[in-house]
Amino acid sequence: MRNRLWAMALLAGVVGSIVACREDLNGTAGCPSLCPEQNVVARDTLLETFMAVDTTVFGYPVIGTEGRLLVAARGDTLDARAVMRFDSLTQNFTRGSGDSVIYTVDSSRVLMTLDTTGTKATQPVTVEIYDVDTTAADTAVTSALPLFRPDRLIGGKTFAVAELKDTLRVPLQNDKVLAKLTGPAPRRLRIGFRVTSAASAQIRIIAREGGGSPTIGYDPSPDTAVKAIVVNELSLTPTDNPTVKADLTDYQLVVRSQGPTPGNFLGVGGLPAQRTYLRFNIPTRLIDSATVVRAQLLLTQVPTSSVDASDSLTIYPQVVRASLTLADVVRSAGILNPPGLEIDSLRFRPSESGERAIEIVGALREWKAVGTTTLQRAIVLRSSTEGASAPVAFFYSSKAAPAQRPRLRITYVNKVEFGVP
Amino acid sequence: MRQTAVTRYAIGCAMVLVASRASAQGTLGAQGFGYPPGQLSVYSRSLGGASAETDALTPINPAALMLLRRGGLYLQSEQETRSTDVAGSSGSTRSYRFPLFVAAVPVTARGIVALSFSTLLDRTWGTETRDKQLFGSDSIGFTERFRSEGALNDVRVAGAWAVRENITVGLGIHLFPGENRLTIAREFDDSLSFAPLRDSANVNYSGTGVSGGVMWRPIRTVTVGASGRVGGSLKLRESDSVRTSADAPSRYGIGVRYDVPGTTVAFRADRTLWSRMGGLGSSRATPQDTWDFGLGLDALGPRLGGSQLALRAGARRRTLPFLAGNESVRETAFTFGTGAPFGAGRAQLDLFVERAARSAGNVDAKERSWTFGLGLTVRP
Repeated sequence: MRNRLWAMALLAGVVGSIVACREDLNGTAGCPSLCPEQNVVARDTLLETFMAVDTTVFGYPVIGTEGRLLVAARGDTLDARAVMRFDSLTQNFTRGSGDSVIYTVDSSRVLMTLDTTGTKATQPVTVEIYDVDTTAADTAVTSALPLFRPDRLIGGKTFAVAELKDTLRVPLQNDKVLAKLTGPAPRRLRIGFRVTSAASAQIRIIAREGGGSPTIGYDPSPDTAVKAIVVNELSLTPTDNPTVKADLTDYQLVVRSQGPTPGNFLGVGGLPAQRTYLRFNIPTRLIDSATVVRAQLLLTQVPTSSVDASDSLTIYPQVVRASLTLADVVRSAGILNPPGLEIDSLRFRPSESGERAIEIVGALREWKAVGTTTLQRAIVLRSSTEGASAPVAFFYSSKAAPAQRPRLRITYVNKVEFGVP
Repeated sequence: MRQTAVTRYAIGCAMVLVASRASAQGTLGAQGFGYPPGQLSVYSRSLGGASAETDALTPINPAALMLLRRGGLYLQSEQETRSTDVAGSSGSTRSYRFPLFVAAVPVTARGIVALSFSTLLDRTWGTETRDKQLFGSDSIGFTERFRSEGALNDVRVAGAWAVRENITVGLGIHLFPGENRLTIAREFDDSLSFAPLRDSANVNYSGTGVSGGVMWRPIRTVTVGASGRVGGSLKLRESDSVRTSADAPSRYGIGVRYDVPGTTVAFRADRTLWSRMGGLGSSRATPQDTWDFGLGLDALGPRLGGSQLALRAGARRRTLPFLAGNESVRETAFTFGTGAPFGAGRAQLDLFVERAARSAGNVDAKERSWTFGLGLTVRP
């Protein structure tokens, strides 16, 4: 019995020694009294002349790629409309075991989802729907705007402010829908949206690119046993470019706005949307040789009295992924990492002024990892509701007076000496 | 649009001094270049180091190698769980090491040569601390993890010769290679605005030394061993460049063993001149010479399946070479061990468990550790 106990104790010791081969070295109690201090010196450097390119870029989002469609009537400052294409209308319905051609329709309507954060109304809002089908270039404002006239009005409804909820159902005129179904080819509906109100008003529709799914519906038969027909958005032109054809399923038209950014300013947001493209020329030793622990891009904001200037505007600083060989700034400003990946967003009111700090250390880390020979060291500032909201923010560019120019504050640590005790 | 090159810096060069723990051991035992395990075999450790001068597996006295007449291989592992209490807060660490390996081959009936690898200074530790750093007016919290791994080792080639039946002498040549791999990682709480600070450093050592020893048995029951080592140069390299140099530590010691059938009592005193390493590190890592005293008992225990178990106990008192808070670190350890042959006497398994306590004068810190060791000897 004693021998067995000794054997078990010996075995337990051997097994315990082998099994317990796991280290846990991180002690937390000894410092600082048992940890002789060594100074890690963080140096704070303010660069004033680091900007290789800073400019405002237009053309984004590309027409048809908007995630939201703003329909606004903001007096003299903003008039925005939206167009949806339903290029394939269902012209037959099924009853019993056979198909029948539609000869009458009832309860025609457009159903869409609103982004209620973009709704602005103090008085009842009338949503008007026009037939904007034309053989002309309907993406151009000059071609499309004349189509928003009374004889082309095919639907509409006035909504109380409280009725502007997530889902909006706007009735269409049944006879005009039937005329499209039974008339000459092409049998399609291309509809334009406009809002009117006694006061300034706007709604924001979630476009197909934003996950929305606007539809047209109509009852093809008085027989209640026949289900209503629902038609989804579809674009069949232009036939030679599938990408553009798909993009143009729904798109934004800006009829009137406050115009582009004044000369020396950098603009973000607004309609038509603006982006700011900033390309950096930072000393290599700072990015590649030292450890940058913080980098703040300091921009001086110019107060503006633009539409909704007192509304908060969220700006996404995004790292440019365009190649060094791409000299076109506008195209470069469209090749971006997703927002929030390296740089946090910032939020402020365009009506305010002062210094805005953008923490771009994540961009510097990426540039250090990628090296100097492949990607542009640039970022783009864009609005989170780009192309679908009116507020625009302005910043002084590098052409401004020295005190107002962009600056870059970098906090970095040189090689830490800690190997020798 | 404008294109310019960088032409000047407008620099407000604010030097933000941050208390970090660059030499941050966070323990009493592993200050400076590290903790000296003692180069003791499991057998000697079981006896509080008292038998080191007369133990063939402990690479202290080369003359003792003659006790390993048939030659053999020996491997030792240790696990230490260390808890440190400092000013009311406590923390614990666990480390694992292989501090000793010996291979010995007899050359004649009266001679033997051996190669051993042992840890001279174990610089393995880690700390995790919370602190804040000021960036202008912003105070940002961070977690800093500091880690060091590696050791300064002693590689000895030694030979022993039996001059007479009761006198053996030995000579050893020592190389002191080593490497410390250190990493620091400071992670800020706001990881989007502040990038982590990560850095690493490798430190390499190379040095030489020679040792000699004698073992004398004046009467059947008493064995006396004495040995010394003279350290040669010891260089510290960083990035392949010699950064500092000093002398490897020298040592001398004497031990006495009293054997009666079934029982052994031993005592040892050892002096290591660590101060010869002065200048290898910064002023914060100035080593001091140390004493090491051990007293131990080895007695017959119960039989286990035909094998005779040994029961061992020892006490040890020593100082450690590197100061903590400008105070000497003292270590007191009590050990219990056992061992038994197996495989028809061709192998031996030895175990020990040690409870050690460390303190440093007026420094408000106490450290306690449990160390468990296992040694395996295989003989041809």
